[in-house]
Formats: sequence, structure tokens, C-alpha cells
Amino acid sequence: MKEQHNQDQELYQLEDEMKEVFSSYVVKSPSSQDTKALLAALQPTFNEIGSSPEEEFIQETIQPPSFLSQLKAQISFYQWHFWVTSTLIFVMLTLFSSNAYVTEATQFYQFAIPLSMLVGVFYTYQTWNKQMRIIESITPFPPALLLLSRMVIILAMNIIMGIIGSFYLSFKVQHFELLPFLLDWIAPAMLIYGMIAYVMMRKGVKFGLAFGIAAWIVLMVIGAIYQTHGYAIVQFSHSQVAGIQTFLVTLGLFLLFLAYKKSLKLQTMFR
Amino acid sequence: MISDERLLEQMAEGDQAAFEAFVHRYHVPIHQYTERLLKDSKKAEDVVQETFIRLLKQLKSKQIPTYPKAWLYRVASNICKDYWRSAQYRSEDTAKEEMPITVDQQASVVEIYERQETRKEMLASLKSLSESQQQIVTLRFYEDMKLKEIADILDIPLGTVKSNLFHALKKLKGVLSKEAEKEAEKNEGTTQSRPRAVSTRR
Repeated sequence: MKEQHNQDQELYQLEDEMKEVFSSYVVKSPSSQDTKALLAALQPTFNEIGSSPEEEFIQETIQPPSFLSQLKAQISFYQWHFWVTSTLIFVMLTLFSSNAYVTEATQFYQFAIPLSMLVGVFYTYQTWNKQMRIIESITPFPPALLLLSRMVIILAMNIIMGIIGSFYLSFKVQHFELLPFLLDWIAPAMLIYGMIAYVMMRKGVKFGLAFGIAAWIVLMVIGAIYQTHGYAIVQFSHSQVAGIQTFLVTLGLFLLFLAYKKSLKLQTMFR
Repeated sequence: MISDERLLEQMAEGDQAAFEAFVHRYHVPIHQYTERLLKDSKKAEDVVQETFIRLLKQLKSKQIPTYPKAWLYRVASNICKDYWRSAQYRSEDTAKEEMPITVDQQASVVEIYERQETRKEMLASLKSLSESQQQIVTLRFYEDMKLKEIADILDIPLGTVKSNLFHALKKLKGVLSKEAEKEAEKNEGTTQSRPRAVSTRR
């Protein structure tokens, strides 16, 4: 430190000594005419600045990906063990149901498929961590819509596997009618799923899941009560039952559509 | 006074008055700086013009230098360096000792002669320095730059500026002292000798 200070002092002293010598080297100072000549020489280059078109930042409107392409992209989100596990569950359900009567098989499906959907939604939400949501919140696709697209994948998977299982049962189970059987489990599943999606978009994921579980339990209980005591009180014809089930499926799809519309506007799912 | 940065911003928008004001502000200092480095007034004018053209091109691409003064000196220095490295410089007779000098109308003939002699010695001694040492000395003594500013312009560490300046001044002092001694020996026997350019007293 002291050595540095001494060196600096020596430099400043040397500068003082040499100042006078340097003053002898005088150079010509350009005149105002020289400056004018320089300005004239530079003018064409300067004019190019003014004539250059304004840099226009082309605001490329970012087109959000279509819902279908988003669905395709989100399929890869689920890892292979999820698909294998889901398939195994359906194979077991179908094989178990194939040894039962039609009414029992219907109850198994009515119980198992909405449960599978709920578990699927829970899995989707749990693996959709906070960090991922932060990244996704800056994409042109609303995070709520991303979650909904994953839920639709779960729904589609359950419906497809359920239909395949139902076809298998139609060959294995005696007195099996395919269409009523399909409506028996698709109607409650669709209604529960529509409710989960709708409530989720308005009140949050946890509230939506809780509401879905509650709806599932209520439907199960109502179904059980009707099967044990209901026939004696109210007797519905097959066509009436089919009408009610069709209405429930339509209601479920409508709630799902409302959830989709809502998800387009939601920019956060931190609830 | 309007800042350099503001002037450049206005120039970038095509403001003619700002353009003229900026050129008026820096024409003389940049010209003198490059002339001292190149020891050629005509070549210095070319360098000045090239420096300003590079600035205008920079502005055209909407890039305004953050420290315009340092930017100008740096660009001028680099153009001089390129010139020194060029074949043109090597092929030219670079002994430009007969440079125009500012004439003080009130000075006597003897004074003018002495001043020219000292100037010749000065030019000769400056030639003994390396290119970077010449740049540092010129910026320090003729452009009145701070050591930190020189470091920024030449893009070298402050310590390097100090050590280069120190060695350059030592060398210059040595060269000029020898010249003065030779002059004294030449004038030995005469009644009056020309005053020594440098005091060797420490």
C-alpha cells in the first residue's frame, strides 16, 4: 500500500517536471471553416439516419395452441407407469365383473370408474407442482386450461377403457344389454366429472376435488337406496331411466364446457 | 450545457442542430489528439472523419454509446492503430517534423526558433515511445484526461496506464536530457546557450 503510494507520488512528480516540455508541442487547431467542411462531408451519412425507416417491432400475435394440440402435448405428461397402472385396474375390474351378474357388474362400474377419475384428477394435480405452474403461467395457454386438458385426458382414458371393458362384458355376462349398461356408469361419471371441473374453475382445485368426492358418495348412496327401496316407491320405465341418464350426461358435458370457457380467462390456479 | 448523451439521442432522431453541435464540440480535440499521434494533419483529418462516420453508423443502428467522449477517443485510437499497422504507413516517410506551428505574433524571432527547436526535440523523443505509450502521454498531457479515463478509452487496467506513463516519462526525460547535453556541448564556447528543455533536477 505504502509502496503504491510512493510510486504514485513519483509519477505525479515526474508529470509536474514534464508539463512544461510538452507545452512546446503545439498542433494546429482546425478552423471553423474546417469544421464546416467536415460537417459537409458527414452530412450524407447523417441524412441516412433520418431516411432510415423506423425500426418497427412487428408485434407477432402469438396464437395460442389449439385445445386439441394441447391435449396431444399433455398426453406425454403422464408417465408410462400411469398408463400401465390404469390399464391393469380396468383389466381387473372387467375380469372381476365378468364373473358377476349384470346388476353387480353395473354397481362395480358405477363405483370404480368415478373413483378412477377422481384418483386421476388427484394424481394430475399432485404432479403439477408449483414450479411447473409458475412456468406455465407465462405461456400463452392459461394454466387452468392446461389442468383442464389433463383432466379431459383422464376422462377420455376412463371412458375408452370402460367402453372396451363393457364390450368384453357383453360377450361374457348373461342377459347383458350394452347400451343401458354404458349409460349406467357413464351418466354418473360424466356428471361427477363435470361438477369437479366446474367447481374447480370457480372455487379452486381442492374445493373441486372435495365437491367431486361428495357428489360421488351422494350418487352412490342414492343409487343404493333406490335399488333397495326405491322400486317400491317410484317405478321408472327403461326409457325414463335412459332419459334421466342422457340428461345427466348432457349436464356433465355442459358443466365441462362451462369449465372450459372459464379456464380460458383464468391466469392462476394457486388456490 | 446539453450532455453528450442527449445530443446523440437527438442525432439518432435525425436532429440536424444536435449533429452540428456535437461535431463542433469534438472536432478540435479529436483532431488534435489524432494529429499528435500520427504527426500528420492531413491524415488526422481523415481519421476524424472516419471516427464521426463510425459514430453516425452506430446511431443509425440505434446504438448510442454510454460514454460518448471515451467512445470517440477509443475509436480514433483504434483507427490510428490500424493505420500504423497498415502497409501505407510503413511505405510512407513518417518523419513529419516540419509541422505547422501556432505562431505567436508577439514572439521574437529567437523565441520562435527556440520553440521550434524544442518542438523538434519533443517530436523526436515521442518517437522513441511505443504506440500505446504515445497514446497515454497524448491523452494525459494534451487532452487533460484522468488516468481512469485513459484506462477506459484504451481498455487497459489503471495500473498498466500508470506504469506505462511512468516509464514513458522516464524515457522521455532521459532522451530530452541527452539532447540538451548534446546541444550544450555544441554551443560550448559561445557566450549564451539555449536554455535546456528539461530540468534534470529531481
